Amino acid sequence: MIRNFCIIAHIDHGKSTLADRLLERTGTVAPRQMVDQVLDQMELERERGITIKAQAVRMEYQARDGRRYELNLIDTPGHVDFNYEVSRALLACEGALLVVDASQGVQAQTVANLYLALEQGLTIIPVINKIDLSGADPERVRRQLDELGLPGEEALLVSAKEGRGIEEVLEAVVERVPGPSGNPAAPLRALVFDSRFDPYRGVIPYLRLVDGELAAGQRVRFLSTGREFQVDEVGVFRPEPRPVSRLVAGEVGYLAASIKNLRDARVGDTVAAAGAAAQPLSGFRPAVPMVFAGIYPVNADEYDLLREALGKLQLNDAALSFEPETSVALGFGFRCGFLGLLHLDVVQERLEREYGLSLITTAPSVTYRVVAPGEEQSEVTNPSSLPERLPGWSFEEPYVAATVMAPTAFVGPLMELCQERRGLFQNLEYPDPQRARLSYLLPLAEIMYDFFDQLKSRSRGYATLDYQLAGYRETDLVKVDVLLNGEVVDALSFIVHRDKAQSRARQLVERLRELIPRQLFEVPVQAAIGSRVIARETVRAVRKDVLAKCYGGDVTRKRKLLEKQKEGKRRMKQLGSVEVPQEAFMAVLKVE
Amino acid sequence: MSEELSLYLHFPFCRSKCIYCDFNSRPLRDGEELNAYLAALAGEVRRQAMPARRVVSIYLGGGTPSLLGAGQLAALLEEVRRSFAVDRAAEITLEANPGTVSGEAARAWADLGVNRVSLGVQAFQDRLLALLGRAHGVREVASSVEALRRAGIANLNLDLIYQLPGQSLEDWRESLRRAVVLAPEHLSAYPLQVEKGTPLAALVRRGLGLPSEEEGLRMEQELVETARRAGLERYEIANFARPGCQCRHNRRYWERLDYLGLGAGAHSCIGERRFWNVRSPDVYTRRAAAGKSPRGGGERLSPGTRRSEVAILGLRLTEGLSLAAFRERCGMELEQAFPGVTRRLGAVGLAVCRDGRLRLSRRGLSLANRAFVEFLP
Repeated sequence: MIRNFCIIAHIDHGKSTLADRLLERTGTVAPRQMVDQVLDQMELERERGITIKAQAVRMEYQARDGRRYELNLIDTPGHVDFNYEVSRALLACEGALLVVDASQGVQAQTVANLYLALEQGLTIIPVINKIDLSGADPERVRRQLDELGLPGEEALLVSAKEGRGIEEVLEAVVERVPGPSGNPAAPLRALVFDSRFDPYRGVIPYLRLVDGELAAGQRVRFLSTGREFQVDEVGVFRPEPRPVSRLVAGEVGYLAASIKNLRDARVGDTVAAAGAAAQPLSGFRPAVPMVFAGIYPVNADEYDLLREALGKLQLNDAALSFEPETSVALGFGFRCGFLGLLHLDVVQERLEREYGLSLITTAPSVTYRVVAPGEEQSEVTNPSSLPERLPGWSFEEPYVAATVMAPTAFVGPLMELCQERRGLFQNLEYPDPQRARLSYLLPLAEIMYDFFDQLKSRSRGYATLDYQLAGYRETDLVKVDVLLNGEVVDALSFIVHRDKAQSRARQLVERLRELIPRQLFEVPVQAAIGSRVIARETVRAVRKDVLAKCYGGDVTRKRKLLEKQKEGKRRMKQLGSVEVPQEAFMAVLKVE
Repeated sequence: MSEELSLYLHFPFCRSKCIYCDFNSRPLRDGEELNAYLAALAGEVRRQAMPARRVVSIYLGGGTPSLLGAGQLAALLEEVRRSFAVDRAAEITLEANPGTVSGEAARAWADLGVNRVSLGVQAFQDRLLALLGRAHGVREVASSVEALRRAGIANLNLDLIYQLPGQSLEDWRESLRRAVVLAPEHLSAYPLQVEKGTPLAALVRRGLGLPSEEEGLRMEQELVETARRAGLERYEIANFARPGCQCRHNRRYWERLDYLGLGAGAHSCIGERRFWNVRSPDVYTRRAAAGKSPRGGGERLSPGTRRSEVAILGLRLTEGLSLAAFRERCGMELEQAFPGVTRRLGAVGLAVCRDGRLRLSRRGLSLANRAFVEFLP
C-alpha cells in the first residue's frame, strides 16, 4: 500500500517543520536524532532555512484501518526562484499537502503552487499550520481556501511546532491520496525526478517507478541517451539512503549504477529495461534560466576545475546553464543562466564552498533581443556584446507578469514602486476586503535586483510576489561601459533604460571608487555611453604604506603582516595595471 | 655562522601604559614582582650562556628599563659578562624615558658600561604627551639630555612619533626643531600606528581624528629635511644618524646577523632559526621558577623565507640591498629568486637598481610595504 505525496507552501509557512514531525511520528527518525529540518540536507539550506533541492524519504505507517502503508514524502523547495523544482517533484506524487500559515493566510506563492499541483492532477489536502500562534485565525484561512475552490471545512488544523494534529495528517494522506496506478507486471518505466552526485558512487538518479520492477543486477537504459548500465544497487531514503532488494511500480527510490558521466542520467529522462522497447514518460517542464551572469575563476588555472564543478552542479540543477565565454578583462569563464538571483547566489556559494574555487561573478543581466530589419533577431545575454543601435533597429527586453498580493493599506506605496520600475499597470482586484491583488507587467531587469526587498520594506513584510515570463517588449535601452584608468572593462558593462542611465552610472562609479583600493597611481573611474562620459570619479593614489617600527627584532610578526597584505592582493583581479576586488563586479547590483 | 652575537634584554614594565602601546609592557605591581622577574632573567642569561661568542652589542629595551635601580642593572650586566664574551667596544644601549634620568642614575649607567641611551621623547608638546598617556613632560627632556651628556653618554638617540591625533604640521616642525637643537647623534621617528586592542584603537573607532595621509606625508618630508640639515643621515626607513653613529644593534636585525633575545617575549635569530619567549611576564617568571624553558615558539626558515627576509630587511636600509651580498647569502641571483620584481619596482618608481645595489626610492621608502610584498615567497 503506497502513498506518494509532497508538501507545498508559501515560504516560511512551516513546510519543513511539518515534514520533520511526520518523520518523527512514523519512527523514520528517532526524536533524539532529530536535527531540525532533517530534509534540508545541504549545509547551505540549513543556514538559510530554505530548501533548494527536492528530497525524498520513505516512511512506514500503521494506519487506523489496521494496514501498514508505505508513505513517500517528497519535500519541495519554497522560493520563487525554484518553481521548477516543485514542478519536477510534483510529477512523482499523487497528492499534496497544501500548508497555509494560520495567521498569514493564503499568500501569492500558496496560490501559485496550488495551481501547479492542480495542473498535475494531484489531490490537495489543505493543512492550516501554526494554530498555536496568538494571531492564528483558522476560520479566515478556511474562507480563503473556499475562495480558491478547495474544501475549507476539510482543512486539517496543525501545529507542527508543537506536534499537534500530525496523526490526522497521516490519516488524511492514507485516506484521501489515491494509490499509484502503475502496473508492476508491465515493462519497467521510471522517471528521473532528481539526482545527486556521489563522489564514490557516481550519479545517483532519484526515481519514481511508474511501471514494472527494478532490482540490483538488472541492466537498464536511459531512453534519451540510449546509454545502458548495470544496476549495482537500488534503495530508498529513510531519510539516509538504504539499499532494498527491489523497487516496484509506484515506489520512490534511487539506483546506483556507477554512472560516471554527468550527461548520461539527465533529470527528466526515463529509465527502462535494457533492450526493451519502451515509450518515454513525459511531462517535465524544462526550467528556463531567466538571468545570466559571467562566472570567472580569479586564477586562470582553476578554469578546468570550474567547468567540472559547474557540470556537477548542473547534474543536480537542471535550471543551471553554462557555456564558455571570454572577457577581455577576466579571461576565460562561463556565461551562466539562473532562475533568479537567489539561485545565482546559491550556485556561486556552492562553487566556492564545495569546490574551494575563488570566483568573480559579473553583474547579472537578462536576455535582450536585437531586432534588425531583414535579419533574424539575435539574443544578447552579455551586456558587453550589445551592438550599437543602427537606424531601424530596435532593442527588446523581457517582461514578466507580476502578481503582488498585499493588505489593502499598502496598495499606494506598492504601485509607486512598480511605476518607478517602469511597470505597466494591468489590474487591481480585491479578493476580500483586506487583500489587494495587484497585477503589473514589469521589465524582468527591474525586478531582478532589489525589487523583492523593496516590496517587503514598503509593505512591512506583508506583500508577496509571484511572476512568470510574459514575452518581450521594445524599450529604449543603452549600454553603459565602465572605464578604469581609461580602459573599458567589458565585465563591468551594463544595459539600462536610457532614462535611468545617468543616475545608475553615477551611483556605480561612486560605489567603485569606494570598492577599488588605492593603487600606486591615480585611477579614473568613468562611465560612458559610447564615447560620451556620463559619470566620473577618481581613486586617489596611495602615498604612504609602511610599517616603520620593527621592534626588538620581531621579524616574524612583520613578515606575517606582509603576508596578510599579499593575501588581500591575491584576491584581487588584475585588470591591466589596476587591482580590482571581486565585489566590484557585482557593484552594479548595489545601486538602485 | 658568525661568531659575533648581539643580545637583547627585555624589561616588560613601565610606570604607566601609553594609549598607543601594544609592546610587551605593563605597569609594575610591586618590588617583589620586579625581583622575581630579574631573577628569572638572570637565570635565562646563565642557561643560554655562550662564553665563546663575542657580543658586539647589548640592547636593554622595554618597557622602561631605566626604571631599574643601579644595583639591579649592575647585577644583570655582571651576569651577562660572566656568560658571554662581551666585547670591550660593544655598543650597550639602554632605553630610557625622560623623567627617569637623574644625574646620579646617568653616572651609574655610564659606570656600568652603558654607552648609548635611547630616549623616548615622542613629542615636544605637553598636550600631545598627556593625550598619549606619557608619564613625562616636555620640561624633563632637556634636563634628561643634560644629565646624560654630563655623565659622558656620547651616543644619544631621541625617539619621536608623528601623525598623532591633534598634531599639526606646525607642532611637528616644533618637535623636530627642538629635537635637533639637543644635538642627538641618532634620531628615530615613526608615524603613529593604530594597533588593534589598544585604547587608541578604541578612541579612533569612537571618532578620534588622525592627520590625513597627505599630512603624514608632509610630516615625513619635514622630518627628512630637518634631519638632513642637522647632519643626521637617513640610513633606514625611520632612522637617522650622524656619520659613524648608526645603531649597530638594530643594523644586525636588518642584516640578519645573529642575536639572542632574553626576557619575556624576546625574539632571537640564530642561523636559520627564529624563536621567541612567552610574552607574559607572569608566565615567563613562573616558568623560570619551575625550572622550565621560557620558549614560546619558533620557526626554522625555509630557503624561500630566508630569501624573502634577506631582500625585505636589506631594503629597509637606504644603502639598499647589495646584489652580490644577496647572491652570497642565498646562493642565487636576486633576479632568479624574484624574477621581474626589480624591473617592476623600477617601472613604478619604488626602487632603483644601480651600482650593484637595489635601493628604495624616496617614494619607495614611504610605500615600503608595497615593495616588500613583491618579495614574499
